[in-house]
Amino acid sequence: MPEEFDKFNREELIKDFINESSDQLHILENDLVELASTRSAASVLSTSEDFYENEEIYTGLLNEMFRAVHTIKGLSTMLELITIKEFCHKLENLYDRLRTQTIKLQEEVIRVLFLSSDVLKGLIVEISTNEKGQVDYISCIKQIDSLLVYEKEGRREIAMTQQVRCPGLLGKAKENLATIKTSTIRIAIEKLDILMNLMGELVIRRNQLEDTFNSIINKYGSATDLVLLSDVTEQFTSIINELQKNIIRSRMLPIKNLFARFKRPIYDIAKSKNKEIDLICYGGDTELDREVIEAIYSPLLHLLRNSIDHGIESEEEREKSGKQKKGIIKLIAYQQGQHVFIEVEDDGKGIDYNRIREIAVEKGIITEHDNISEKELLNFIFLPGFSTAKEIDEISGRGVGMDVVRNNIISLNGNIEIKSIYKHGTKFIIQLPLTLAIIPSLLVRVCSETFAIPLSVVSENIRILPDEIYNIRNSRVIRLRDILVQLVTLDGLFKNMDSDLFLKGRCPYFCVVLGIGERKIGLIVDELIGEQNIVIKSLGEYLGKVRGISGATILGNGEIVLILDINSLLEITDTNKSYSLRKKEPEYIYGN
Amino acid sequence: MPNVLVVDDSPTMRKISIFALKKYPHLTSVEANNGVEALEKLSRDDVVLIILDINMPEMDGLQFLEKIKQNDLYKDIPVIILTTEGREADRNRGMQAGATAYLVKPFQPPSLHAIIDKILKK
Repeated sequence: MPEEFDKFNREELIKDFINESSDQLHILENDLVELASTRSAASVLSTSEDFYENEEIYTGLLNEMFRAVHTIKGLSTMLELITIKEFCHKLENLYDRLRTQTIKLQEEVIRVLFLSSDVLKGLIVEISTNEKGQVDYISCIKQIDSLLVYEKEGRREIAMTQQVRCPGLLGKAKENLATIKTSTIRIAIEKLDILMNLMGELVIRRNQLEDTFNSIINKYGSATDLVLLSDVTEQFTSIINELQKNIIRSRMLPIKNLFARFKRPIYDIAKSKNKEIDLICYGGDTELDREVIEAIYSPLLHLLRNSIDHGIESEEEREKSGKQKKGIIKLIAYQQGQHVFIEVEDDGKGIDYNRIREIAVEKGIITEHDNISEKELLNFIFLPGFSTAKEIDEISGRGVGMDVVRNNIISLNGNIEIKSIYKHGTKFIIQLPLTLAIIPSLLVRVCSETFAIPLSVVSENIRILPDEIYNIRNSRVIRLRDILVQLVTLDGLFKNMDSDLFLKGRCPYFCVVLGIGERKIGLIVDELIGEQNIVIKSLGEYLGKVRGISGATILGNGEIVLILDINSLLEITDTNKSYSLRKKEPEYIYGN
Repeated sequence: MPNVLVVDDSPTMRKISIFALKKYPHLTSVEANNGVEALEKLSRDDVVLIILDINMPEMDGLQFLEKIKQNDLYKDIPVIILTTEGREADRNRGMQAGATAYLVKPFQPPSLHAIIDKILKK
């Protein structure tokens, strides 16, 4: 870094560099995947030189890739990141030779291009983590060198002028032109966080204002001044609603950026499994909070991995069952009300219910004679350590995973559902809140405490009578239509809570049926209060993580309400072995 | 207020240039991502100096330079090319296209200041 710039916060510039380079790396990787697949598709059709047939696509992509490397090179030069600069310089030469067609786009070249983009990523990560010398870029440079046979400067000159007139650029240019019309600025996420926080406070005060105002109206009726005040309050409220919507929107990103990040890993995994996969994305313009997008990346990647590894069959198998050779994985996003849904769908072999049954019997969860529905069998997939994979490999099949995926999604106040048809494919449906800061919730009262339950997991509210409750293996269950629902009370979570209504003899009981995945549990509560959008606040560092509680919120009347942590509710039912649902006669009926 | 138009597809690079421009408190800066955007900004803002990158998407620096040299309104605005392309041939091409000065990245702010001082004197 030139001395003069030292005053100008080098760290800030390095941060900018890392951000911008990551963007460029994404472009580079996605183009690379596209280049590789265009090439492999073309080479099936003809064994001869295919560059000319796909010239437009190739030139467009190669130009864009060249520019990505060039940008990173320019920045690293400016910031005196010598290693990255040298590496980019080499790589730039290679891309330049490719786009001017002085090097042919062969398999070996593609391999080196993938390798070099990994190395470049590694080098940039090294900058952000401040660890140096972990990435072996020298051997990569050697490989690039072996592809480059230096020619005279003159030849390059001709190549440079040719590039300006290439037709591939035009298509891309038109596409990009639409996006540059809307002017954008980069804002540090911390600033948006502050806005969001203030917004949360404002929403809480608005609720308080509304509550207070309503009680004043009740007391004093409709005096003229009050009517005026009422109008102002209403307008005030609607402006705050609008403001809230827009602040949330300002933090939202289209999900297509996330989808794009999967292209490379999927290409890699499919290649290592010797499978051909088409990833098709729909609804990329659906917007989601940046934080949710970050948090959903690894669960989604896990599901995609599973699909490639266990879902999509080998080519021979697919041909035998009359499917096309290439496996299809669809990523679909859409918004519905206050939630965004993401579906991961494959056209693979689907879930073999018999196999799940076998394993469940093997593991002693059920017996051979148990008659368990397919829906209930799907629940087992989410049990820790449950895997139907016959062999364990590095990609998936260790039995860790689906439970982690579920827990991750639940802790985002989301939900996950599976649909699968044997031999036809599997679909995972993930439900996510638009933002992590404000969620729709159900307020309930237990032992004169109010709790909030994220609405995404509430499937219905029912009233139950004592004689509808069975006691099976030390846990109480009810039969809800065709499935058994285990009942839980909050005293299982909070020891000092005497919430066991069964002992109080009050009936009927209110029961909130929570649907998590394919699984349903029933939470017994004293009172149902209603639905409300709540602003989530953490409990603060002093209290840290409290079992059973995921956060807190303040209601309009100033009351502090705890938000129930659904994962811990699941834990207590897991340890109660709720899955041991023997279909024998109930041991005794509670209440009789 | 007179503006300096900084044209570069890298926001970080623009930030660096704009920092170097802080020496001239009477000049404000306007940013553009590429040639097309730069033409748009030219028509809107009062630009007295252009700092121009070469390799950019949509419309590169040389194409942009060619365009403004054909336009009577803009053709006299001094243009400093600021690029990583350091070869003699690149430099010649830039100067032939009508650039006032040619500076190769990485640059030291004083060398940019020297060029700007010279231009401002005229």
